[in-house]
Amino acid sequence: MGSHGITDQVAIIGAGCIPFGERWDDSLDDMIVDAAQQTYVSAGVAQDDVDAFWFGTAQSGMSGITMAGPLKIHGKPVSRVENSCATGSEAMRQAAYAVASGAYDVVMALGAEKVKDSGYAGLNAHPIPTDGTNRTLTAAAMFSLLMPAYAERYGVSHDEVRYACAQIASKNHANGVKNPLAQFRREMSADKICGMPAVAGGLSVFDCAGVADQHRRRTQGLRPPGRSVGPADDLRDVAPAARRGRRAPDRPQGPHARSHPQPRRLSRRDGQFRRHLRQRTLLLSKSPVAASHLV
Amino acid sequence: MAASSPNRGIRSIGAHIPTRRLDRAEITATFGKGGGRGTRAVASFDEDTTTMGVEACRAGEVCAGDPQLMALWFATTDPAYLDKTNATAIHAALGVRRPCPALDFGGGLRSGIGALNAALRATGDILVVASDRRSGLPTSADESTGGDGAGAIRIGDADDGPLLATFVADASATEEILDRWRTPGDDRSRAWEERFAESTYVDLATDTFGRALDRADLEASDIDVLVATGMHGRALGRATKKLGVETVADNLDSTVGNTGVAQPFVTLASVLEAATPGQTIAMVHLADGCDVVILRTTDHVAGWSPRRSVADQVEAGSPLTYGQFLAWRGQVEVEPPNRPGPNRVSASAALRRGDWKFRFTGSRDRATGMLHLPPARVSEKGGGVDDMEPVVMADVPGTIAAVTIDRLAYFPSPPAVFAIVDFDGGGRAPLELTDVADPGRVAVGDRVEPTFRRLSTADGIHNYFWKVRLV
Repeated sequence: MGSHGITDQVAIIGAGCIPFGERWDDSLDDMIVDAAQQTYVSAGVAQDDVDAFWFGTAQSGMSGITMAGPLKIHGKPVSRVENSCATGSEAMRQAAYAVASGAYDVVMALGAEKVKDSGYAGLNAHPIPTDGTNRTLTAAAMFSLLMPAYAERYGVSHDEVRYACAQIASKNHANGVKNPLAQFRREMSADKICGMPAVAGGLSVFDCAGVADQHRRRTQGLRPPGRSVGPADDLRDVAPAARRGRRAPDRPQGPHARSHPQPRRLSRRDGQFRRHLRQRTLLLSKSPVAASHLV
Repeated sequence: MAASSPNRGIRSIGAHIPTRRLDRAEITATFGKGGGRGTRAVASFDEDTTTMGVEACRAGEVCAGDPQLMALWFATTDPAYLDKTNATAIHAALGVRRPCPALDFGGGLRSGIGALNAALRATGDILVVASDRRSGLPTSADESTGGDGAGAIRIGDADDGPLLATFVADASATEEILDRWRTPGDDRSRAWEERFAESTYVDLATDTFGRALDRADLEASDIDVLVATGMHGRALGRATKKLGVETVADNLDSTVGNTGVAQPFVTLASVLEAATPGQTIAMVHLADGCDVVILRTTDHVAGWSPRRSVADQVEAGSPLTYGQFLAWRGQVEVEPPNRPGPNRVSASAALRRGDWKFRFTGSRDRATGMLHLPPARVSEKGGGVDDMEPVVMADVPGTIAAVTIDRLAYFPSPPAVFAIVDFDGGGRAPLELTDVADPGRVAVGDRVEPTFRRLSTADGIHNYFWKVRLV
C-alpha cells in the first residue's frame, strides 16, 4: 500500500470565509476578491507571497482564469479543480500535497460557487453530451433512495428512518444558529421537518442543503522540519481582524485605518508560523442531510 | 391475380394498448359538448408511434428466437421523424440483423393494411408494424372516438416454421376521394361532411369483398369473423351489414377507440388470441379505396397465446384526467418546472452505444460473471479488462431494490418515479418507473419489466431508452 499521509508537513496559516446566502448583490468575482482579501489578512501575507493557487468550483467557471482574472494573479499557476460536492476538499487536498511535496512554500486553496445566477431551482449539471441514457433524477432524489432501501435491509419502519433523517437535519439547523456564516440560522424541530411537504422521496426542503452562493479559502504554509509551530495566541492580532469584516483593506493604509491591519510580508526565514484554528472548513464534503452544518 | 398460398401467412402477432384511459364523459363535462360514452386509450407522455410499435412487437414476441427477417416495414400517420426512418429504431430495439432493411410506409391511413397485403404477396419473413395516435380538436368526434395503439404482424412461409393463419385471398380497390385529409404541420385531421363518401365506400366494400370471395372460391357465409375497419364510421356501419357476415369482430370502439392505421392489426390480434383452428377471417379496410385480406387459422393457433394479450391490456386501464390529456397532446401549454430542459442526445455517443441505448444490452465479465449495466470494459469485480460478453436485458424482469419520487426534476408529467432495479440473473440499474397509476404504492420488492420509451425530445431529437413498468 503506497498511501503515507502528510501529517505535520503542512500548516494552515490563514483562512477566510464569507457568509453563505443567495447574495444577489455579489458576483463570483466579488466573492473571490472579498474572501481572498480576508485570507491574506488572516495569514498576514500579501498575494505576491503565494506561490501557487488551487481554485475549486463545480459549476461556476472553467479553468484557473476564473480566479486569476478578478484577483489579477500574474506569473503564478492557478489550477481549477472539480469533484462534485467535494470540490472544496479537493482544492484543499491538492494544495496541501503541493506544499508537502516541497514544490511550493506558500499556496492558497480557494473555493467559490455562484449558483443563483442560473435562475433555475436546485443544482443543475453542465450539459455534457451523452447518449441520453444517463439517469436524470435530482441529487436530492438520488440520496432519498437510501431511505426505503435502508428500511428494507434493517427491518426498520419507513417512519423511523424518516424521523432519524429529520433529527439529523434538525441538529444541522441548530448548529447553523451558532454559525454566523450559515445560510439557515433558525432552529427547526424534527417534527416540524417531518411535517413539511416532500420534494424527493421522504425528504423535505429543509432536509436538504440550501442552494447558495459562497466561498472560502485558506492559505497554507510550509513548516520547515525541526521547527515548532508558534503558540495559538500568536494569532490574536490577526484572527479577530479577519472576522471583523469582509471588506478588503483599503490601500495604501494610513495611520487612521486601524480596523484593517496591513498584511505583513511573510519571510521564509520566519521561525514561527501561524496556525489558524478554524479546522471546521476541512469538512467540505456536502450531503443533503449534512446541510448547513459547518461547525 | 391473387397470390394466395396455404404456405404463407401470419407467423406471429402482437398488439400494444397503452394503459391510460380518458373517460369520454369528462370531455362533455368540461365543454358541454363532444365526448360521449366509454373510454379511449391514450399513449403515455413517454410513448410515441415508434415506441408503441416496439411494444407491439414485444407483446407478440414476433422476433422470438433467431430473427431471420427479410424486411421490417413500419406504417403510421404520426411519424416521430420525417427524413429519418422511424423503422430503424424498431429494428434496433428488437436486435434485428443488420442486412434486413427497415422501411417506413407513408402517412396514409391505408398504409398498414397495404403493407400487410404486400408482405403476404412477398417471400421470406417480413415484419409489418402499424402504430398510430389519433385525436382531434377538443370536443371533436376524432378526439373522443380516436385511440392510440399499435400492432405487429410477422408474415412468413410455412416451410420456415409454423403459421397461425394462412393467406387465402385478397382484393383491392383504389379511389381518389377526399373524405379525409391532413396537411403536414396541421394539428388535426379534417373530414368532409359525414354523408359524403358513405355510398361510395359501401359500394367499394361490397365490390372488393365480392372479388376476394370469388378468388377464394368462398361465399360470405363461409366467413367466420369479419374484421371491418376504417375511419368513416357511417360507411363502415352500413357496409358491415351489407357484406352478410354474421360475426363481426369488436373493434374495441368503446374502450380503446379507433387506432387509425393500427386498427386492423389490433382487431386482428384480439380475434386471433381467441380463435380456434380452421376459422376463416376476412379483413375489410376502408381508406382511399378498399383492401380485403382473407385468412384461415391453422391448428397452431390453438396452442398459441401472445406474451401480452389485447384482452389483458384492455382490462389494465387506469384513468387519465382530461386536463392531463390536453397537456400531453399539446392542446394546452402548461407551466414547465423551473429547471433547465433536457440536453439533446449526442448522435455520436448514441451510435457508439446503440446496443445499450436501443437494445438494453449490458455486459457480463467472463471471469467473475458480474453483469454490468451499462456495459463496461473494466469489470467492477476482479478488475478484468475487455473480457466481457453482451447480455440482452430487454426481456429480463427485475425487482425494485429502492424507489423514490422526485418532485424537483424536470419532467413532462410529474411526479417522476425512479427505482433501483435488481434484474433476475444479475445486473442493477437506476431506471425510471412508468405507467404508474399510484406512485405512493410502489414499494421495494415489487416486480418490474423493461419497456421501450421516449425519455425526452430536445432540438428535435427524440431520446429513446428503456424504463421499467410494474408487472
